[in-house]
Formats: sequence, structure tokens, C-alpha cells
Amino acid sequence: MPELNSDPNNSTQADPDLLFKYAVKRGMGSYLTASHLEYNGLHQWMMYFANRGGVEPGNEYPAPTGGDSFWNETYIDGMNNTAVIIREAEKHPNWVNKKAAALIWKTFMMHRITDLWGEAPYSEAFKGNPELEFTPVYDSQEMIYDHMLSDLKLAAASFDWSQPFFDASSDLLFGGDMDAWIRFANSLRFRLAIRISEAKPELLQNVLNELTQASLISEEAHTAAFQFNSVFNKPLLEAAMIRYQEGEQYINPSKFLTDILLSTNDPRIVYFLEKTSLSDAFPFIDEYRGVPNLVAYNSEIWQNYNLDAQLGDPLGSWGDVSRIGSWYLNNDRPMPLLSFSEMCFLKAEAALRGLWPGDPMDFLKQGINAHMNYMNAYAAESLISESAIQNYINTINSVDLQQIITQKYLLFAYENVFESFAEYRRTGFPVLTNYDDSPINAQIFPKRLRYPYSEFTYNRDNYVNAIEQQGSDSQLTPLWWILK
Amino acid sequence: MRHTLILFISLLLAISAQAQQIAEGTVFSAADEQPIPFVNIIALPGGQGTSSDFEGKFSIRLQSKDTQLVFSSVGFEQDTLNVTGEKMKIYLTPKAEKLDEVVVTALGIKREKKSLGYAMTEVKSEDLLKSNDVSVINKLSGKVAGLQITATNGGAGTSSRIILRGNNSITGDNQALIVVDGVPINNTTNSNSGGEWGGRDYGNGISDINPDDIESISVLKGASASALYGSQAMDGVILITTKKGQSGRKMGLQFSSTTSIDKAYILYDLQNTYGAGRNGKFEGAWDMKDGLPAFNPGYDFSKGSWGPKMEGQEIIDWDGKSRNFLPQPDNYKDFFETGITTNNALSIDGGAKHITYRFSLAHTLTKDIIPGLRYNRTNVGANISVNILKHLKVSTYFNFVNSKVDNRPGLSDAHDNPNRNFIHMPRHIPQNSLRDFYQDAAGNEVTWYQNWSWMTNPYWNIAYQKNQDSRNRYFGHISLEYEASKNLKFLLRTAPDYSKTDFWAIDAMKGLIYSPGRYSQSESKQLLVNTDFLATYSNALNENINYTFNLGGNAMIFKDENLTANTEGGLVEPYVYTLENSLNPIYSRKYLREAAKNSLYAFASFDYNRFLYLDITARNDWSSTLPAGDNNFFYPSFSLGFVFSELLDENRCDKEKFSFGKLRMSYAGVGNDAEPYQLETTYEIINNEGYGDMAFIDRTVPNLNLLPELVNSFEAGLELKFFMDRLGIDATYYDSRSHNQITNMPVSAASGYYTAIVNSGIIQNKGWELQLNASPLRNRKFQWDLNIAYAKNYSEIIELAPNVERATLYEHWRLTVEARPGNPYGDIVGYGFLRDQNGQVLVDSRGMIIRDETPKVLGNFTPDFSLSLSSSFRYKNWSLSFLLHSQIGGDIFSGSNMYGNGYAGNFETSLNGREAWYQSEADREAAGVAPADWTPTGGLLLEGIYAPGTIINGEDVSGQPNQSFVNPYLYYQKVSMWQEEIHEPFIYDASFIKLRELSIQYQLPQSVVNNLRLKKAFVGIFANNIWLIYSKVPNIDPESMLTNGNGQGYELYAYPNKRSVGFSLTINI
Repeated sequence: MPELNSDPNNSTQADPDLLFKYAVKRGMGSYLTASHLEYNGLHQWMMYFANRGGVEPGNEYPAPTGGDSFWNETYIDGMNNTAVIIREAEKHPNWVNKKAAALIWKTFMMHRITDLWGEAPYSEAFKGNPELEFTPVYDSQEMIYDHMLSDLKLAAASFDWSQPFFDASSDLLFGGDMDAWIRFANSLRFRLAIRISEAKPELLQNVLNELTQASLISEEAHTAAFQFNSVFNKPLLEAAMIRYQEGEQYINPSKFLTDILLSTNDPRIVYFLEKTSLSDAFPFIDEYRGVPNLVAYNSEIWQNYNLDAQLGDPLGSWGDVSRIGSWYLNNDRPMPLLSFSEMCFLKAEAALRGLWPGDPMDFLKQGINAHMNYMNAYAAESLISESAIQNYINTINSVDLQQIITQKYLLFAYENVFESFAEYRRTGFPVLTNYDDSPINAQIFPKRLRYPYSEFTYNRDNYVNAIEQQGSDSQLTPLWWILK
Repeated sequence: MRHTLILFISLLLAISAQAQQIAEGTVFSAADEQPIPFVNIIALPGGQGTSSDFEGKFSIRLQSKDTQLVFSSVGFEQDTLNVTGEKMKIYLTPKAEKLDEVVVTALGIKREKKSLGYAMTEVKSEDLLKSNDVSVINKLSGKVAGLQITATNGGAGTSSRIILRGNNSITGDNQALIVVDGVPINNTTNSNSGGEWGGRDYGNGISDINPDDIESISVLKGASASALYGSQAMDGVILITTKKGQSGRKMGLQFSSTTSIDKAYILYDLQNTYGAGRNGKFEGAWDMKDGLPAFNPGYDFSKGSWGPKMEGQEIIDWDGKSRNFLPQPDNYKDFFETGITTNNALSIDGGAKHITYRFSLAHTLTKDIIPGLRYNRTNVGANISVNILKHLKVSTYFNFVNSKVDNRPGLSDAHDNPNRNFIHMPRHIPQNSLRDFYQDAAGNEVTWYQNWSWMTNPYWNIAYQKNQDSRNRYFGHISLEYEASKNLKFLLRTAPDYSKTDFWAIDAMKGLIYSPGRYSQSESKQLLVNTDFLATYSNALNENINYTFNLGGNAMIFKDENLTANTEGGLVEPYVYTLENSLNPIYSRKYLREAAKNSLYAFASFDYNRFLYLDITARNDWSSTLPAGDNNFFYPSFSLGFVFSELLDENRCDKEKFSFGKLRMSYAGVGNDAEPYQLETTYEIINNEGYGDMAFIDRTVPNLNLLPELVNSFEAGLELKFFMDRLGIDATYYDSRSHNQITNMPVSAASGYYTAIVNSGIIQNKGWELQLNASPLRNRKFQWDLNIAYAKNYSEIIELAPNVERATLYEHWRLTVEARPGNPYGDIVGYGFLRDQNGQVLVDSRGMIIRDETPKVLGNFTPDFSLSLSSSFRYKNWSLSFLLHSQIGGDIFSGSNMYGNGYAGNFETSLNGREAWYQSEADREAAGVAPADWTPTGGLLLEGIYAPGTIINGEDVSGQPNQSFVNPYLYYQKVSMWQEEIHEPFIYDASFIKLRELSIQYQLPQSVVNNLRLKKAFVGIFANNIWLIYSKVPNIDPESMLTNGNGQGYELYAYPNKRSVGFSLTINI
């Protein structure tokens, strides 16, 4: 009779290839996390998008709904399946390379978790099965960073060419290329080290010293990117489809973003924004028009962006503002997770701090050039000419942190809000402004997400300890690495 | 010589017999003047006997010395009458409470009720037929102390939650086992009913039973009563006994028909003053610009009716049509249709010497009040028993059920739940405008609020959003009974229950739910087979002690196979809803679940001089779902019945006044196993995400060392009867504790898992049940009976798993239903108002409440007690009966009220302070004062005190009673704001008193019936769910639930209940 209790619907064997594929795919989020957390919350906080519904007073930074799902999915579907591979690898010495990739991917996801929440379970996490440890303690963010940096180092060093690795179909990031995983691990270490520039500068220095000899993402082909497909649309497309269906209320590019592009004559604007629909026919109408953030519902400014009738188009959908550039909605273009351009900007900052050999301005220009070329490469026709690139780059004749981070802000637009949100909190750049170009109230700008209610419920003691150490579980409590 | 004498006397007797007279007559029941068949008739003093025939007629030869006849029959008072010359008419009086009442107990064993050591309640079929509910179980509501039935509000054929004596398990289903003729049937719910985001309720197994086949229902409440059913019966048993033919009875035919008209009852109380807009200002889809309609892109009808007064202003409505801004008072009411339920049942029964039979055919059809919903069921049944040999009997019960349900409605937060539409839709929008314009010229769905795909047009759904489920089910049993000797009997029985259900559903193309269109289909096959043997030996030990020994065994197998598939990415050929027409490869999944359990049990009953009864049972189960090697568990039960009235000295105690007294006591343990596949780690492989096969580790942590659950329960009871049984009291106290609960406990996601299977928890349920029966008046023409049932259950979660402070039973909109140690089962936990240490609500300087950011217990769904009263009056051929049912205490969160009052401002109750606030605003504007400098003169005055540090006009008013009027719009927006909800004001005391049933029946006089060549005929009218006499919950029925699971106390967009009035006809031929 006991054999009857063997589950006929599922497998009892851990297959690292299948588990890894799932962990990577789930790390990209789902409709719930991507569209709720990023597109209804973080993107508006970071002023990529503006909500044309306006805001009710006192409701400037509502918590996005997807935070809890992001936490749960990242721990359970993403990281835990890598943790299973790592644990099972103890029994299978020939999984050594798979284990290394799993560890790198786990670290990538963990850095998103800790950058959003701060302290989080890590050293004791993933012990539900078989250890039956269901209430993992929260590690301090400093500890998590130490841990992540050393794990990446360890993983990069542990690849063994005599042992098998994932085949092309099981490795959704690099198609089974071990070198690529090593570059990704090293580059991620670079990113994480820069993240703690204010909190632990001596560690930043050590890590960078170690990385000078390491292989990094150093050309466009090295970029870590994820390829979506017709069943699993990229989250931005998914969000856009849903939002358009619901009346295009939320997905309009912001005035803030548009103003940056316009004020610097950035040729990338053609990829960032669509032209307003009436600007062809009516030359007095702006070609590019973004929606301001944080305007009060039904205020005069709000009316300006919401009444088509003023533009003589009673049947127009929403007032003539720019939509998100269709370049971004191309589902065939892989979504970068850590790009060559970003590496250039990271090096630029490192060089600016005197911790990396080379001229920061060269790195900055290299990064911009790479981004513009990358955009051209995925367009049906190149919309930015080589001369436009040069003209734009030539306007840069000095370099400071604000420039570097602002370029990163543009690089991360629409697709990697986790990074721009983190970099803004670390550096204060770009200076987010309201409709009148005055800086937003940094006092009430969110510094983190609130822990899921389930943690309060099912892991209360550790949750309470965490907020005792870190500060109250509010959106306003700063993280360890944040600019003080 | 002696022989000669005997011969002589015999001859003499024979001769005298030939000379004697014959007495003839008919025996009737004094209650209904019906002839009584099979009455024993004995002539005295001669001792000659006979019995009446089926028509109650008898004739008996009398000896010359005979002067009297004694008439006796089961269920009637014995009567002795003098022999008269003419044809006699004898009226026997029915016994008030049959002293030797025989009831059906576990395994279908019939026993005298007197001998039982535990509480049980039996409901007879007459009491079940007074309503037209398609699910027979709902007819028990309010009739049995300690039984709580809650049906999901979702039209005909939804499932019912059946709870006896409280909830014993934290996350188990807690529902009673359903047993038909001694064998369990499959009562699984076919879906989770109302889930968090919608779902449909596909009914549960018990709704397949033909009510007309039921002879009686015994409710075994405690563990002792049900111990023989073992683990499945942990939560009590509903024991159904079917009607059978009677041996020696001529073939009879019975036809019964009921038809009822159903109307929606308890509709939202909607306001008819204010229309679309926010904060008093109109906001329409279109504005007038220079005399032309201009679309207003920012329009937000979703705020419901927080606009200006509807005074006939001309507006352009959502559909672009010009309309006067006027209330639509019947908007919601008119959406629901008049329902009709018909139920026709035909049966033939009878018996000969070696055979009894009953065949039945029944058909139920409901056109529900919810548009499009149709419920259709056909039952075919046969109950045959044949004595194939002198001591060998074969019996079979067979039932075939076909049910088909069209268009089950979406529940709770489903897109296609029309109630949510009417809760949110501004009050000025005519329902007809939705009906007349549900699709545009291109065939796309349109509705009054196009900006949110969750707001669909109910008429589009009726037209295109279809679904159907149809089920074929076969269940019954075949049994072999062998009487080896007078003392020794054997029973062998097998009872299969197989059902196959096919579902399909359409998400219509170009609809707001999923515009590419989707077709889904599933097939579910379930098989439950119980095979039993039972050997019974009964004998007398001596003249004082009788005993019965039983030894039995049961083998149970359960198999559940599910195949679901749906189209992906849309349809190739537009509007063709088949799997083959899927744009992308279809998604399909097969799921199989199997379990088996073997059991051996023994029980013994002793009867000492018919006043002391002792039962001992022991059972051991071997389950497939527990760890191998440790998969069996044993549990015993004891019960004692002491009929102390038998010992009373007749001289000292007047039996006329005190007729019966019994004390009973029992103790039982019942074990329970687990769901299948909870022991080993598994990896689920999926392939529908576009990257080929992928796998993930099961998100639930299995448990290698799972132990069986155990419920220990004790009960004691007292039964007293007075005045020749015309007054009866039955009181029970019980205390049960469940240990080692197998719980799927939610855990921190950081552990890598959502839930873990753990053994945990102790829940205690103790309480009182009181049942009182009285017949204050009883004579040949008039009879009045009264029945009162009272039940009070105290539940307490003694502990959960180590380090676990709560178990979540249900969760939606940040409101959770939980089990917390120290509290009763079913805490309702959510966000409330910030209060000071004295519990006073704090308000800010504007007079606005403040949200307490820490969730807290706001209520509990467990009622304090239930009390019901049923009564019947009979006068000659007329009878009238009614049932009053109340449940006092317990809370409910009403999401309908939260949104209907708060977000949408559509409920009447949301009018508070609006008029006064707008007046205040008008005054302010007239005075030209800015809002900040104005002290409002009217609005909503919330009860509370100013929070510490509150300063108004430079004065510290901390702690003073609130005197600041707040804008009602802001208050209601605040309490219902998405993600910032304050649940507290929408938690209500769910107490109710209901007049559930009322029926009047008339039995046609025998003369009329005879002329029609019938045996009996009844006509009647009945009404159900007639009057909600008392309730504190506005706008909804306080019994509204969105699930039949443990997430009770949560209402969301519930459908109105039905009030039915019907007509019934029963004919016996």
C-alpha cells in the first residue's frame, strides 16, 4: 500500500538542468511582480513613467502591490531552486560548474532582494526542506554584501573545464558558455562593490584591486541578457499591453525623463519616446511630450495633460502625449541584466574615485557610445547617425558622478528600474524634480519596501529583530549602503 | 385414555368454532384517519389472532366466550375494545414518542434509540420535503442542534459546508462524512468555490442525492457515534437511510411534484440621491465643449456615486447618449430574474414474500434567479432485496445521477460576477443602457467603465461568457447477508461510487476579460469504493445480560483523475471555441490522486436487564498516506446508557408523569490520516512557459515522519420524558480535543517554501446541546407539536506548531481569517482604527480617523449559539408547520459593504452627512473662505477623541471628544482605499433570526381519494427563506459566504439569496 503514495504526477529526482532553467526564468519575474512592483510603483517613483490619473494629496508614493509577490517568488521560485542545485551538488561532484552558475544566479537575485528591503534572511534561508527550518534569521545588509561578494569570487574561481556544464538549451542566459558566467560573476562583483562605496569604501577598494586582473564584460557581445518569447513576454510589453487595454493610464513616459533628453539634445530620444500623434499635422504641437509626475488630480497642470478637447481632438484617447518608444516593446530583443555599457559606467565611477586605471571620461563616453550603438543594432533602421553620436559625446568635456549616474539612469530606463532606484538612493542622482523643476521632497521619497505581511506573521521574532537593528519597517528607513 | 380425551376436546372445539361469529372492521389512525395495515388483533379471552390487511381491514373468527379485541401496532397506543355486532371502526392513537424508537446507527445498524450512549438526532423524510432546495443537505439547516449548514451564495447547485460541533481541524476540511445506507459516499467539493480572485462553485457530492429517496437522516455528532467509521468520520457523520419496499406489501405508486417560484431576497439597499462623480462634482465620460460632446479622458466612474444630486440635469452618459441625470431605483433588482424550480419524483414500491423493491425516478430543474444559470438533474434509483436462499439475502441499492449545470456564475472578485458591477456602477446609469450596448460595431465588449478590465458588462457575460458542467454518477451498494443461525449473522458489502464530470468554459473573444478568446475544458473522474464485511454474534449470557459481538473490516480505495486543458494565446478561427483552434500549443495537465485504507474493527454491546447498556468499539486503520512501517493507528470508544427510569418503583413514581429517564456517557478517540503524497520531496515538471521542460521543487515541504491526527472526545447526556412522552428533553455536554493535526502550515517564504506539512496543534471544542420536544395539545382532531433545538459551542485553539503564532485559513485584501492560540477558531484579522489605551478611537484635527498600522483581531466567525424552534399544528386534514432559526454571535466582514459604501458610495448607508457637508461647502464658497480657514458646519461626525498633540485654532484639544465634521467622501475613500483598507467599520455582528420554512398541507379526505381510485393524496404550499427577522448586517444576508472552505466570515460581492414560494402535490396509488 505505501507504494500507492508515491506521487505519479511529479518527479522525485532533482534535475539540475530543468531546475536551473526554471530558476533563471522565474528570476525575470512574472506578470504580478513585474507589472505591479516595477510598473505601478518603482517606475513612477523613479519618474520613468507618470500616472495620468494624477495623485490624491498625501498619496505621492503609494507602496506598489507587487512587492510581496516579488519577495516570495524570488525566494521560492528563483533562489530556492538554485539552492537545491547547490545542495544536491554535494552528492554529485560532476555538478561543480552547474553549482557555480547556480551560486552566481542566486547572488544576482539576492542583491535585488537586499537592495529593495535591506536586512533579509540569507545565511539561514532555503532550509525549509529538508532541515525543517522555517523561521530564518535576518542577516544585516553588511553581512549579506560580504557574503555575496565572496560567493561570487568563489563561484568564478570554481569552474572546472574537465567537468560538464549546462547545455545551450538549459542555460537561458549564456547558452552554456562558462567564460560568460565567469565574466558575469566578476562584473556583478564590480557592481556590488560600487554599491557599497559609501558604506564600506575599503572593501570596494579590495574588490576592485582583485578585479583588475579578472575577465569582465568588456564588449557588447558579453552583455548578460535574457531572451523572452511569445509565451513569456517581457514584463514591459506585458505591462504595456495590459495598460493600453485599460486606457493607457499608467504607461506614459514622464516629463522628467523627456526633459532630460530634450535639454541635452540626446539623440536617443527617438528610441525612448514616440512622437505625439498630432505633431505631424500641427507644427505648434511638441514632438515629444511627457506627463509630469506628482501633479494633483484635477489641478490645472493635470488638465493640460488630460484634455484632448483642448487639442481639437474630441475622439483622441488621452491628450496628446508621447507613448513609450516602440523600440522598448520589441519582444525579440533580449533584456539586458548587466550590459557592456553599464560596465563602462561602473569603471568610469571607479576611475573617478581613483580606484581603477584609466580616464573616467573615456569610460563614460565609451558607455554612451556603446548604448547608442546597441540601440541602433536592435532597430529596424539605425535612427542615430554616427555623427549624432559623436556630436553628443563631444558635448561632454568634464566628468562627475552626477553625469555618470544620470547616464546610467538613461541606460536603465524602463527595463532595469531596480538598478536606477538603487543608484539614486546611493548617490542622489539624477536629481528628481517636480513640474516646476524643483527637487522632490527627499524626506518622503521611499528608501525601501516594507517587508511582506507574511514575514510579520510567520517569521515574527526574526522580523522584529531585523527592524530593531535596521529601523522601523517603513518605506522611509534608509538602507545600510544608502547615501547618508 | 389421555389421548382420547385430547381428541375429544379438539373435536369439541372444532365444532364450537364452526358455530361462532365473525368480527369485521377497519382500523384507522386517529391522527390522519388513514387505515393502518398489519395491526395485530387478538380476541380475548380466547387468544385467537389476526392482523389487518393493507387497507386496514380485518375479520376474525370469535369464540363464543370472546368479548374483547386488543389492537396493537408499532407506533400506536394499544387499544382494547368490546366486540360489537356491526362492522367496527377502530381509531388508534399514535404514540407520542415511540419508546422503542428504532434508529439507524453507524454501519446502518438499526438499534433502539434507548440503548445508545451518545447523542444522535434523526430527521424523517416528511421534514425534508418541505422545501425545494436542490441539495438535500440544506434542508437540515436549523433542524438539528449542533449542526451548522452554510451554502455558498451562487445560485442553484452550489456546495454546502456541513459542520458538526465546531471545527476540529486547522486546515482540514472539517466537514461531516456523508453515509448512505451504511456506506460513505464521495462528497468532495468539485472546486474551491469562491477563491480569492473569483472562481465558481461546482457543488459537492451530496447535492446529487434524490431527496425523495430518503427515508430518514441520522446525524451522528460525536466521535462515539461515528467511531466505527473511523478516520473519515472525525468531524461527524450524516447518515442517510433510503426508502425501501416492504415485504408483503402490494405494489404502490407514489408521485410527488413540487414547483416553486424564487425571487431574490436581501438586495443591496442602494441610494437614489447622488450620481456619478467625486467629491460632489459630476465626472462623466463626456463633457460638453462648445455644444459638442468631448470625451473626458480622465473620467473616473469607478469612484461610483460620489457626484452631485441627481436632479434631471442633462448629461452625456458613458455610451455617448444624452440622458437626464436621474436615479435608477430598480437597477439591481431588475437584473435578477424570477426563478422556477420544479421537482418531480415517481416511485414504485412493494414486496412479496422473498423480495422487496423500490424504483424511483426524479427530475429537478431550476431556472435560477441569476440570469443564464440552469440546473438540471435526473435521478434513477433502485432498491431491491431478495432472499435467494432461506438464510441468504441479497440487497442492492443503485443510483444513477445525471446533472447538468449551465453558466455557473463567477463568485467573489471574479470578473464576471455581476454583483461587483452593481456595487460600483454609478446610480444614474440605466441598466438598460448596459443591456442595449454591450458590444460596439466591431464586436468588442463595452461597458460603463472601460478603463478597468475587471469591470465587465453583465449582459455581455450573459450573451457570450458561457460555461457548463455535466456529471454522470453511479453509486450504491450490493450486499449479501447470511444468517448462519439465530445468533450468528454475516454481512458482505461493496459500495462503488463513480462519477465523471465534464467542464468547459469560454472566455469570449473581444471581451474585456481576455480579448483573444479562450476555451478551457476539463474532465474529472472520481472513484470511491468501500468494501466491508461484518460478522455479528448475539446471544444472552443469562437472563439478565444480552450481548452482541461484531467483527468487521473495511477496505477503501479512492481515485481522483483530473485532466484540464485550455487554448493559449487566442484562437485561430475567430469565435470557434475548441482546443484544436488554439493559436499556440494548448496547455494541458493531468493530475492523479490515489489513496487506500484498510481497517479492522470490533465492537461489543451489552444490555443488562434493558436498563444498562454498554458499547465498546475498537478500530485499527492502515493508511496508504502515512509513512510506510508506521502507517497504522488504533483508537477505541466506550459508551454507556443507563435508563434509570426502569429502576424506579412504580408505586412511588407516577409513570404517567415521568415516563422515561436516561443518563448516557461516552468517550472516543478517532484517528485520521493525511492527504496523499505528503511524505516525499517532489519536483514538478512544467512545459508551458515557452522554454521546454523546466522543473521546480515542490513549494510545500513534505513530512517524512507524519503522525495520524487524533480527536479525543467525551460526552455526557441526559434524556427525560414526561407525561406519557408528550414532553421530552435531551441535553448533551461534550468536550473534544484534536491533537497532532496534520496541517499545511504557511511558512516564511525565506525558508524557500510557501507551506509545510506539519503535525501540530490542539483544538478544543466543547459545548452544550439541548433539544426539547413537546406536544402540548393532542387529541383526535387537533395536535400541536413543538421542537426547540439549542447548541452552544466553545472553541479554543490551545496550541499550534512550535513557533507558530497563527495559521491562515483565508486571505484576501489584507484581511485574513486565522486560527490563533488562545482564541476560538476563525479570527478575522485586519486593519482597524487607531485607538488609545482605553479603546477610544483617535481622530486628527480634521475629525478624520487614523489607521492603526498593526493588523489586529477584529472579530471571529464562530457563532455563540444557535437556537431554532419548529412547530406544527394539525387540525383534521390540515397541517401547518414552520421553522424559526437563529444564530447569535459571530462576525462577518462584508466586502460588499466596504465597496458599496466606501469606494462607490452607492449604498443608502453612505448618505450620512453628505447633504450637510455640501451645504457647509456651499456656505464656505459663498463666504469666500479657503478650506484651510473654514470650520465645516456639517458632514460626518465620527465618534472618537482627538489624538494626542491635536491642535485646533491654536488650542490643544487632545483627548476631547471629536467635534470636527469630516467630508464623508474623504472618510469613505480612506476606509476603502486599495491597499490601505480599514476593515473595521465593515465587520458586523452576523447574528440573525430567520423564518426559514413555512408550509401548509392538506390531505384530501379519504372519500374523495377513494373516488379518484387513489390511496392517499396531499396538496400543500410551502415557502422558504421567507423572512430575515433580525440582522445587524446591512445590505446582505448575514449567512452570505464566498467559500465552503474554512474561510468563513468573509463576504464579497455575494449574490442575494432566494425566497421561494411553492406548491406541492403527493399522490399514492
